[in-house]
Amino acid sequence: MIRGTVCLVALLAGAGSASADPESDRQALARYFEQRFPDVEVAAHIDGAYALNAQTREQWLAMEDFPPYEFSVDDGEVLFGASFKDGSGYQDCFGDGNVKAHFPYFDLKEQSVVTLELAINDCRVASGEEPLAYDGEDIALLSAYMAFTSRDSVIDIEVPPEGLAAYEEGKQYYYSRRGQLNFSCSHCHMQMSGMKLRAETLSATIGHVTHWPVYRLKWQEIGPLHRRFKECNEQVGAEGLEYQSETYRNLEYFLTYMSQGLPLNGPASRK
Amino acid sequence: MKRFIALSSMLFVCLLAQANQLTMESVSEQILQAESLHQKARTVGHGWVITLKLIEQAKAALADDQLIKADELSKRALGTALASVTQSIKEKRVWRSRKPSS
Repeated sequence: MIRGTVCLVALLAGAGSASADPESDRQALARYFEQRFPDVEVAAHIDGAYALNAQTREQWLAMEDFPPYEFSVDDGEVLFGASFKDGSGYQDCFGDGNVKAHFPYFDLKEQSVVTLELAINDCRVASGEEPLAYDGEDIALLSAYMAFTSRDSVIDIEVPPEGLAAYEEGKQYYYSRRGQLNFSCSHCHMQMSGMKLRAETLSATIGHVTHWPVYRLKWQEIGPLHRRFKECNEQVGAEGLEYQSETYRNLEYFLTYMSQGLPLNGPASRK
Repeated sequence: MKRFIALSSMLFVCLLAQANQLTMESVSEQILQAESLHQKARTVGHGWVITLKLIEQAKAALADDQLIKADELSKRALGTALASVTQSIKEKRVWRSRKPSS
């Protein structure tokens, strides 16, 4: 009898964790980082590794005096203001561009996650324009401008019941080991966050999506979040996926919900 | 010196025997198996960079008639492909243990 009750309780507990909702996931993650870094406010993680290392933060702040992404924002503004052949433009789809706080979202009609980059191309295609290459410069410049106009807006996305599967897939991807080095995203950005990987401090999961696109000194140009996903994959010996693949969009969906309520601070510069 | 010559001869004979057992077909089959396993891992997001690299190297060695090298490379490719599939199966079960409890 006792054994049966124990089994039932264990089953119910298991079922509970399997169907955990995004908000309780977010709160659990926030608690994890509050305990791991008691001296760092959760909101401070929007600065990534620079929230965890005073010395590199100082260098980064000095770099932000003349941010390397400034020209990209200017170029993005020009692209954003240009008209399509049919006379319409990005403003017809995105207003003044301050829309990033609500991306990505789950499209009920398409039954998939729509990121800002995907929406940019949808906007173009609807006006008879060719879609932009997701690994190209123009889409990075446009999203840099839109990130800039969205600065300080608070991330406010929804995960409707229909979008839960996509959210869960993104979550599973984040916590699954992959590649020859057998690392999951969470190994570096949870268990080892704040520690050094060679000369670099590893950032926390929370705040990972707030500052994209990013000008990385390593890239010598501004690039999208999915480029970083791909790079992270390859760093652990896993094959990277296509930018805007369903898997990366789901991963972005999960990560964005984990930063729900945090202010946007993109574009940004990183080493 | 005599001992060295004897050992070298034995090694040469062994390598020769191994080479004789290998055929283009058997190595090709091994490469195909590695490719198939790699594809299986890839479709669930667990493809490894090293596997593809080893497969390509094995194919190049085979095309160059270097059977022993191609055999060695394809065996390694098969090993890493198998490990990636194993990883994908195991992770389906254990990934939840890494997320903080709600």
